Amino acid sequence: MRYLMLTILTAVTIVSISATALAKPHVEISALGTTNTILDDSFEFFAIDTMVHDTWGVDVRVEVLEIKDVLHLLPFVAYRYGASTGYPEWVTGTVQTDLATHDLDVGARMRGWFLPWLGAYAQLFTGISHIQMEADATSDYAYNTIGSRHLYRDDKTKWNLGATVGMELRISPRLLKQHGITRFNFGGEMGVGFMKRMTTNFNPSLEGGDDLSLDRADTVNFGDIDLSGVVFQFGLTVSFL
Amino acid sequence: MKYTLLIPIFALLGLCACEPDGLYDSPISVSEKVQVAQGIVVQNHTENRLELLSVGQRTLRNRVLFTPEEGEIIHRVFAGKENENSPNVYVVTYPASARQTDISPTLSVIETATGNVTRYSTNSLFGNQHFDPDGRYIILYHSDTDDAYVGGLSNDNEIAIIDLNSPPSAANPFADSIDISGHTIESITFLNEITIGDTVRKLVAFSTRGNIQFTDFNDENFASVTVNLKNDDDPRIIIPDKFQLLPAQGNRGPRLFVKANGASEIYDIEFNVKDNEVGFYATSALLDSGYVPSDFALVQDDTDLLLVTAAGNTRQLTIFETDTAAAVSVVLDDMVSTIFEREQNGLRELVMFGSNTQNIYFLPFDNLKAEKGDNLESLTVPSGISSAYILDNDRLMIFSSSNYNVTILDLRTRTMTNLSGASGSNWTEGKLWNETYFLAEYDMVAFLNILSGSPGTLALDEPISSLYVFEQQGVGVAMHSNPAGRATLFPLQMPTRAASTIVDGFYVEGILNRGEE
Repeated sequence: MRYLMLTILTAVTIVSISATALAKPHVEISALGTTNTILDDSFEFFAIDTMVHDTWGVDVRVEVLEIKDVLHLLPFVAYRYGASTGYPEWVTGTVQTDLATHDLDVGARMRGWFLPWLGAYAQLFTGISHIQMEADATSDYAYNTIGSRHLYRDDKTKWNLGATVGMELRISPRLLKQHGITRFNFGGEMGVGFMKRMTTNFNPSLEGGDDLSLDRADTVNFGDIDLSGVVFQFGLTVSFL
Repeated sequence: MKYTLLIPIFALLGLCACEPDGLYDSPISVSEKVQVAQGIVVQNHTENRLELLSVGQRTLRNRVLFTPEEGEIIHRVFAGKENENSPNVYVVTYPASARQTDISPTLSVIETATGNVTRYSTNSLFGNQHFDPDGRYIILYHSDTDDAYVGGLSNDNEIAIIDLNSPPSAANPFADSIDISGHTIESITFLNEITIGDTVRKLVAFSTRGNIQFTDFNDENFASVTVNLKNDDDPRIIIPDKFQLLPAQGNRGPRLFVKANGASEIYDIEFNVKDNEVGFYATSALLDSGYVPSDFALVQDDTDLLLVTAAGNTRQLTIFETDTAAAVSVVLDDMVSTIFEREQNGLRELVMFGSNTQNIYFLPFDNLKAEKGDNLESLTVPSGISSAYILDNDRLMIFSSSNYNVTILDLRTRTMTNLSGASGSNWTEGKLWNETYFLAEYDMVAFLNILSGSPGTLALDEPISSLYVFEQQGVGVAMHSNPAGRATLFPLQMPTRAASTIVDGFYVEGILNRGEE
């Protein structure tokens, strides 16, 4: 899917190069929610009942190019934050796990308006994902003592990349102009795509206890997890014209 | 326009595929099975396999030791006759479904150091086993619950004899059926070699509820004889649980004294041969004290063979002259359940004790028949005896019911040393390494060097679920009830916190990749 999107986008870009023109720059800010459907079964370790990892964030886009007065190129910077909690069963019972992601991406969106109020887009992005993982063994540990180290914690930063396609809605500019609004527009969007986060390994430190607690000789490696998957994006946009 | 409608359609389709597979909905079910020389064998019930926690000086590594073949289920696991020093692990498996006719119940012998597996197809599922003292043969026999696993008809008298020094073959295991008059084998005992007539025999005793069949495995005809312990109409359940063998003396053939659970008699079985007949025969006499004995001992002086019995539910000893069955009783202040023989200052004596009592008793062999028990000595344990264990031939380990003392009694000097007067209770059964004794209670390991009398404690960070001592590695292992699997390793030579190591997570290593296995 993602390779197909990439190919299409590249072809459109090449064909349109001859008709490009610098656009009057305007800024857009979108508040977006992105639903990540994780494909790796390992995600169940951090999930309650579903393989979905929801993230929330903001995109800041700047329109810089118009192509044949139809397509618009908008580079953007995006940030997303998401957190998931799980209760996997270990040896003596259930423990609580937490996973948080901070995605900081840059990308480019190509958009076209079919109607004054309806358009479609395709975008590519890449960036870094900061992944924080925790597992707390005290949540179901009947004999927890003050000296027991119980918190497994690991942070990793990995590359990510992805692509989405979607449709956008906005208030018709003609309508806004009739009401004397020429400097703002409001809209929303809905899209689907794929995001690849590089595989990460959960090889945690062991924390907790007190100053007298014994250190461990070997670390436990919980294994690898791949937080890639299909993404569904929904949001609201304010354009500053 | 129409293509833009595909976007929400794809979205809905994608959301439908969000259900997890339940990969972590069930606990990782493990249970510690046996200690062997290399480490601790754990059965992973979730994965239907055995894992070995291999113990090093500062490491504890979990590796897969044995995986049954497809369609097999692990029935039970046991160590060799060397127990915690066994280099091998023995696993009995059986088919998961009766329809799997190509799978047979099997005994697998696993060398823990190399992982090599030798499989002996036994054709029947046997719930019990017994090693011969040399460890070369193992006899498999049925337990009461074997029928529940395989269904259909079964022969409770069926046994399988495996030569562990020979590879599997059609004749190894050797299947046989013991004719014990419709009874079920309760236990198997290998007796020491004895000479009956002119023939050296190594007898194996198959005990049932009411008789014993003695079979000579060295005899190519498997010469055997059955001794009845009761009449057929006797409703008692009599199961032999102690054997003591005496070689032939004078005009008496070799004798076997047997104590049986449920019988007040001690059985005096004598083996002899008949002129011009092959094989051997047995006769039995009864020595009845009137109570069911908990233990007995034989005392041989210059002229007589005496039998001393004691019972855990009466406060008396009975001393028999075995040739005449004449008996005399000695009244005690306590109920004695254990008797063992040792040497004190060059002379033989019996040491006797019981649970929930106050005294340890000593009965010298010297002139016992004439003394009739008047030379009995006792030693009072001030804190009382909740239970006691034979540490070695010269020492007892005594657990007291009041203020939770653990006491070492040196039988040579009749002196006592308190291991701990702390308020802790529920001490685990102790482990002995060289001259140091280790106990565990809650989050603490207590130890005592018996030679120097120096006690010590090792406080750990979390409660201890089980304690192991590994002689070869010189390491003690305190297992903890931790969701990830956790143990504290400490050197037996120097059990201090500074020298201790925590090994963590050996049950959850690679848990994120379970779905890929």
